[in-house]
Amino acid sequence: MPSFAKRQWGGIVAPPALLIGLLMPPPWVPTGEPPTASIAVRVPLPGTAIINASNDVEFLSPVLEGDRLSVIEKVVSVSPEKTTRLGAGHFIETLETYYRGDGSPVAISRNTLFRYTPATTS
Amino acid sequence: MTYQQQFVLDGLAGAQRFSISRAVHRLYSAGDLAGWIATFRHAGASLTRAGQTYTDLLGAFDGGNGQRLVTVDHEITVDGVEASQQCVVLLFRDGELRTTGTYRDSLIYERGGWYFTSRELESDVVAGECAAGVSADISYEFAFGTYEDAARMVGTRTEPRYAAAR
Repeated sequence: MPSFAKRQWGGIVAPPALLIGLLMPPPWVPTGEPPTASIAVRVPLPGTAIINASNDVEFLSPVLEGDRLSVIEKVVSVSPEKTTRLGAGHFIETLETYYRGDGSPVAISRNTLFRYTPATTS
Repeated sequence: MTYQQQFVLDGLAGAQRFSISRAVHRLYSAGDLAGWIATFRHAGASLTRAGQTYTDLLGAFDGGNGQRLVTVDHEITVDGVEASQQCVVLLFRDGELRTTGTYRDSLIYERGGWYFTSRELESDVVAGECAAGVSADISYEFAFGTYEDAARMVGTRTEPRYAAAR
Protein backbone atom coordinates (compact mmCIF):
# COMPACT_ATOMS: atom_id res chain seq x y z
CA MET A 1 0.00 0.00 0.00
CA PRO A 2 1.54 3.34 -1.07
CA SER A 3 -0.04 5.14 1.90
CA PHE A 4 1.49 2.65 4.35
CA ALA A 5 4.89 2.92 2.63
CA LYS A 6 4.72 6.70 2.78
CA ARG A 7 3.85 6.65 6.45
CA GLN A 8 6.42 3.97 7.31
CA TRP A 9 9.42 4.92 5.16
CA GLY A 10 8.48 8.20 3.45
CA GLY A 11 7.65 6.63 0.07
CA ILE A 12 7.64 3.44 -1.95
CA VAL A 13 10.83 1.50 -1.24
CA ALA A 14 12.94 0.11 -4.08
CA PRO A 15 14.35 -3.42 -3.69
CA PRO A 16 17.77 -2.74 -2.12
CA ALA A 17 19.76 -5.09 -4.33
CA LEU A 18 18.60 -3.17 -7.42
CA LEU A 19 20.77 -0.28 -6.31
CA ILE A 20 23.97 -1.98 -7.42
CA GLY A 21 22.57 -2.88 -10.84
CA LEU A 22 21.09 0.55 -11.47
CA LEU A 23 24.46 2.23 -11.04
CA MET A 24 26.62 -0.38 -12.74
CA PRO A 25 28.39 1.10 -15.78
CA PRO A 26 26.43 -0.02 -18.86
CA PRO A 27 28.38 -1.96 -21.51
CA TRP A 28 26.60 0.01 -24.24
CA VAL A 29 25.27 3.57 -24.28
CA PRO A 30 22.39 4.52 -26.63
CA THR A 31 24.06 7.81 -27.54
CA GLY A 32 27.06 5.92 -28.92
CA GLU A 33 29.51 7.36 -26.40
CA PRO A 34 32.22 4.96 -25.28
CA PRO A 35 31.16 3.24 -22.05
CA THR A 36 33.04 4.00 -18.85
CA ALA A 37 34.24 0.89 -17.14
CA SER A 38 34.21 0.39 -13.40
CA ILE A 39 37.31 1.76 -11.67
CA ALA A 40 38.36 -1.80 -10.78
CA VAL A 41 38.80 -2.57 -14.48
CA ARG A 42 40.72 0.69 -15.01
CA VAL A 43 43.42 -0.18 -12.47
CA PRO A 44 46.51 -0.74 -14.66
CA LEU A 45 47.61 -4.36 -14.27
CA PRO A 46 48.58 -7.31 -16.39
CA GLY A 47 45.85 -9.82 -17.10
CA THR A 48 42.95 -10.06 -19.51
CA ALA A 49 40.40 -11.82 -17.34
CA ILE A 50 38.45 -10.91 -14.22
CA ILE A 51 36.33 -12.75 -11.72
CA ASN A 52 34.53 -11.28 -8.76
CA ALA A 53 35.86 -12.73 -5.53
CA SER A 54 33.60 -11.13 -2.92
CA ASN A 55 30.98 -8.48 -2.37
CA ASP A 56 29.69 -7.08 0.90
CA VAL A 57 26.99 -4.42 0.88
CA GLU A 58 25.65 -2.45 3.81
CA PHE A 59 22.32 -0.72 3.19
CA LEU A 60 22.10 2.37 5.38
CA SER A 61 18.65 3.67 4.51
CA PRO A 62 15.85 2.75 2.09
CA VAL A 63 15.95 3.96 -1.51
CA LEU A 64 12.63 5.58 -2.31
CA GLU A 65 10.75 6.16 -5.53
CA GLY A 66 11.95 9.45 -7.04
CA ASP A 67 15.40 9.41 -5.41
CA ARG A 68 18.19 10.56 -7.71
CA LEU A 69 21.12 8.26 -7.06
CA SER A 70 24.84 8.49 -7.63
CA VAL A 71 27.88 6.39 -6.80
CA ILE A 72 31.52 7.23 -6.12
CA GLU A 73 34.07 4.46 -6.49
CA LYS A 74 37.40 4.30 -4.67
CA VAL A 75 40.37 1.95 -5.02
CA VAL A 76 41.11 0.63 -1.52
CA SER A 77 43.94 -1.81 -2.15
CA VAL A 78 45.73 -3.86 -4.76
CA SER A 79 47.40 -7.09 -3.64
CA PRO A 80 50.82 -8.24 -4.76
CA GLU A 81 50.69 -10.99 -7.36
CA LYS A 82 48.98 -14.17 -6.18
CA THR A 83 48.89 -17.45 -8.00
CA THR A 84 45.59 -19.28 -8.05
CA ARG A 85 44.21 -22.20 -10.01
CA LEU A 86 42.80 -19.69 -12.50
CA GLY A 87 46.18 -18.07 -13.10
CA ALA A 88 48.45 -15.41 -11.62
CA GLY A 89 46.94 -12.04 -10.85
CA HIS A 90 46.04 -9.37 -8.33
CA PHE A 91 43.10 -8.81 -6.01
CA ILE A 92 41.63 -5.30 -6.33
CA GLU A 93 39.49 -4.09 -3.44
CA THR A 94 37.16 -1.19 -4.18
CA LEU A 95 34.68 0.74 -2.10
CA GLU A 96 31.53 2.06 -3.73
CA THR A 97 29.47 4.58 -1.79
CA TYR A 98 25.95 5.19 -3.05
CA TYR A 99 24.27 8.52 -2.42
CA ARG A 100 20.84 10.03 -2.88
CA GLY A 101 20.35 13.51 -4.27
CA ASP A 102 20.59 15.22 -0.87
CA GLY A 103 24.10 13.82 -0.43
CA SER A 104 23.26 11.27 2.24
CA PRO A 105 24.76 7.81 1.73
CA VAL A 106 22.26 5.01 1.17
CA ALA A 107 24.65 2.07 0.81
CA ILE A 108 28.30 1.09 1.01
CA SER A 109 29.63 -1.79 -1.04
CA ARG A 110 33.04 -3.42 -0.64
CA ASN A 111 34.04 -5.46 -3.64
CA THR A 112 37.05 -7.62 -4.38
CA LEU A 113 37.87 -8.46 -7.97
CA PHE A 114 40.59 -10.82 -9.17
CA ARG A 115 42.31 -9.63 -12.34
CA TYR A 116 44.49 -12.36 -13.80
CA THR A 117 46.19 -13.91 -16.77
CA PRO A 118 44.45 -17.23 -17.42
CA ALA A 119 46.72 -20.19 -16.72
CA THR A 120 47.46 -22.21 -19.82
CA THR A 121 46.00 -25.70 -19.68
CA SER A 122 48.16 -28.58 -20.82
CA MET B 1 50.85 37.25 -42.19
CA THR B 2 51.67 36.58 -45.82
CA TYR B 3 50.97 33.28 -47.50
CA GLN B 4 54.72 32.58 -47.66
CA GLN B 5 55.19 33.35 -43.95
CA GLN B 6 52.27 31.09 -43.03
CA PHE B 7 53.63 28.32 -45.28
CA VAL B 8 57.05 28.46 -43.62
CA LEU B 9 55.52 28.61 -40.13
CA ASP B 10 53.28 25.63 -40.86
CA GLY B 11 56.25 23.61 -42.09
CA LEU B 12 58.32 24.54 -39.07
CA ALA B 13 55.40 23.83 -36.75
CA GLY B 14 54.86 20.39 -38.26
CA ALA B 15 58.49 19.43 -37.80
CA GLN B 16 58.50 20.65 -34.19
CA ARG B 17 55.30 18.83 -33.33
CA PHE B 18 56.66 15.56 -34.68
CA SER B 19 59.73 16.26 -32.61
CA ILE B 20 57.66 16.71 -29.43
CA SER B 21 55.66 13.55 -30.20
CA ARG B 22 58.82 11.52 -30.56
CA ALA B 23 60.30 13.10 -27.43
CA VAL B 24 57.23 12.47 -25.25
CA HIS B 25 57.06 8.84 -26.26
CA ARG B 26 60.77 8.27 -25.65
CA LEU B 27 60.46 9.91 -22.22
CA TYR B 28 57.38 7.80 -21.43
CA SER B 29 59.18 4.61 -22.44
CA ALA B 30 62.23 5.58 -20.38
CA GLY B 31 60.10 6.31 -17.30
CA ASP B 32 61.35 9.92 -17.23
CA LEU B 33 58.54 11.60 -15.29
CA ALA B 34 60.06 15.12 -15.17
CA GLY B 35 60.94 15.10 -18.86
CA TRP B 36 57.50 13.77 -19.78
CA ILE B 37 55.71 16.48 -17.78
CA ALA B 38 57.89 19.15 -19.43
CA THR B 39 56.31 18.31 -22.81
CA PHE B 40 53.00 19.69 -21.50
CA ARG B 41 52.27 23.38 -21.07
CA HIS B 42 53.11 24.80 -17.65
CA ALA B 43 49.55 25.20 -16.38
CA GLY B 44 46.12 23.91 -17.33
CA ALA B 45 47.24 20.78 -19.15
CA SER B 46 45.31 17.55 -18.84
CA LEU B 47 45.53 13.92 -19.79
CA THR B 48 42.50 11.68 -20.20
CA ARG B 49 42.87 7.93 -20.08
CA ALA B 50 40.29 5.20 -19.61
CA GLY B 51 37.58 7.79 -19.04
CA GLN B 52 39.49 9.51 -16.23
CA THR B 53 40.88 13.02 -16.64
CA TYR B 54 44.07 13.96 -14.82
CA THR B 55 44.96 17.60 -14.30
CA ASP B 56 47.71 16.58 -11.87
CA LEU B 57 50.09 15.01 -14.36
CA LEU B 58 52.20 13.50 -11.58
CA GLY B 59 49.37 11.09 -10.89
CA ALA B 60 48.80 10.38 -14.57
CA PHE B 61 52.25 9.08 -15.45
CA ASP B 62 52.43 5.32 -15.91
CA GLY B 63 55.45 5.02 -18.19
CA GLY B 64 58.68 3.05 -17.89
CA ASN B 65 58.73 -0.50 -16.52
CA GLY B 66 59.75 -2.12 -19.77
CA GLN B 67 57.12 -0.35 -21.80
CA ARG B 68 57.65 1.13 -25.25
CA LEU B 69 55.12 3.61 -26.57
CA VAL B 70 54.95 3.97 -30.34
CA THR B 71 52.63 6.21 -32.32
CA VAL B 72 51.94 6.00 -36.05
CA ASP B 73 49.57 7.46 -38.62
CA HIS B 74 49.74 11.07 -37.40
CA GLU B 75 47.15 13.51 -38.65
CA ILE B 76 47.98 17.12 -37.79
CA THR B 77 46.04 20.35 -38.21
CA VAL B 78 47.55 23.77 -37.50
CA ASP B 79 45.57 26.90 -36.69
CA GLY B 80 47.97 29.70 -35.82
CA VAL B 81 49.60 28.95 -32.47
CA GLU B 82 47.22 26.07 -31.79
CA ALA B 83 47.28 22.63 -33.31
CA SER B 84 45.53 19.31 -33.01
CA GLN B 85 46.95 15.89 -33.61
CA GLN B 86 45.46 12.43 -33.87
CA CYS B 87 47.56 9.29 -34.04
CA VAL B 88 47.39 5.57 -33.43
CA VAL B 89 49.07 4.25 -30.27
CA LEU B 90 50.86 0.94 -29.87
CA LEU B 91 52.02 0.09 -26.36
CA PHE B 92 54.50 -2.74 -25.96
CA ARG B 93 55.65 -4.29 -22.71
CA ASP B 94 58.73 -6.46 -22.67
CA GLY B 95 58.48 -6.71 -26.43
CA GLU B 96 54.86 -7.84 -26.52
CA LEU B 97 52.02 -5.69 -27.84
CA ARG B 98 49.77 -5.04 -24.85
CA THR B 99 47.28 -2.45 -26.02
CA THR B 100 46.38 -0.23 -28.95
CA GLY B 101 44.36 2.94 -29.16
CA THR B 102 44.15 6.50 -30.40
CA TYR B 103 45.63 9.73 -29.06
CA ARG B 104 43.73 12.97 -29.65
CA ASP B 105 46.01 15.85 -28.75
CA SER B 106 45.75 19.62 -28.54
CA LEU B 107 48.96 21.62 -28.66
CA ILE B 108 49.97 25.23 -28.25
CA TYR B 109 53.02 27.12 -29.48
CA GLU B 110 54.61 29.13 -26.67
CA ARG B 111 58.07 29.77 -25.23
CA GLY B 112 59.61 28.92 -28.61
CA GLY B 113 58.16 25.43 -28.90
CA TRP B 114 55.05 23.26 -29.03
CA TYR B 115 53.51 21.90 -25.83
CA PHE B 116 50.58 19.59 -25.18
CA THR B 117 47.56 21.28 -23.65
CA SER B 118 45.54 18.08 -23.57
CA ARG B 119 45.98 14.44 -24.52
CA GLU B 120 43.10 12.00 -24.71
CA LEU B 121 43.90 8.32 -25.01
CA GLU B 122 41.10 6.08 -26.15
CA SER B 123 42.13 2.46 -25.86
CA ASP B 124 40.74 -0.11 -28.23
CA VAL B 125 38.44 -2.48 -26.45
CA VAL B 126 40.08 -5.68 -25.31
CA ALA B 127 37.77 -8.63 -25.00
CA GLY B 128 37.96 -10.08 -21.53
CA GLU B 129 36.56 -13.02 -19.69
CA CYS B 130 34.16 -12.43 -16.84
CA ALA B 131 34.51 -15.80 -15.19
CA ALA B 132 36.74 -18.81 -15.31
CA GLY B 133 36.27 -20.72 -18.53
CA VAL B 134 33.22 -18.73 -19.55
CA SER B 135 33.44 -16.42 -22.53
CA ALA B 136 32.03 -13.01 -21.77
CA ASP B 137 29.39 -11.24 -23.78
CA ILE B 138 30.72 -8.03 -22.29
CA SER B 139 34.01 -6.52 -23.40
CA TYR B 140 36.04 -4.61 -20.85
CA GLU B 141 38.39 -1.80 -21.67
CA PHE B 142 41.21 -2.94 -19.42
CA ALA B 143 43.99 -0.61 -18.39
CA PHE B 144 47.33 -2.36 -18.54
CA GLY B 145 50.32 -1.73 -16.31
CA THR B 146 52.43 -3.16 -13.54
CA TYR B 147 51.67 -3.76 -9.88
CA GLU B 148 53.58 -0.55 -9.11
CA ASP B 149 51.30 1.37 -11.52
CA ALA B 150 48.26 -0.15 -9.83
CA ALA B 151 49.53 0.65 -6.33
CA ARG B 152 49.69 4.34 -7.32
CA MET B 153 45.94 4.22 -7.92
CA VAL B 154 45.13 3.20 -4.35
CA GLY B 155 43.04 5.97 -2.82
CA THR B 156 41.83 7.24 -6.21
CA ARG B 157 38.15 8.22 -6.23
CA THR B 158 35.91 8.64 -9.23
CA GLU B 159 33.58 11.50 -9.92
CA PRO B 160 29.95 10.67 -9.06
CA ARG B 161 28.21 8.52 -11.64
CA TYR B 162 24.46 9.05 -11.81
CA ALA B 163 21.84 6.40 -12.39
CA ALA B 164 19.78 8.83 -14.46
CA ALA B 165 22.71 9.48 -16.80
CA ARG B 166 22.31 6.06 -18.34
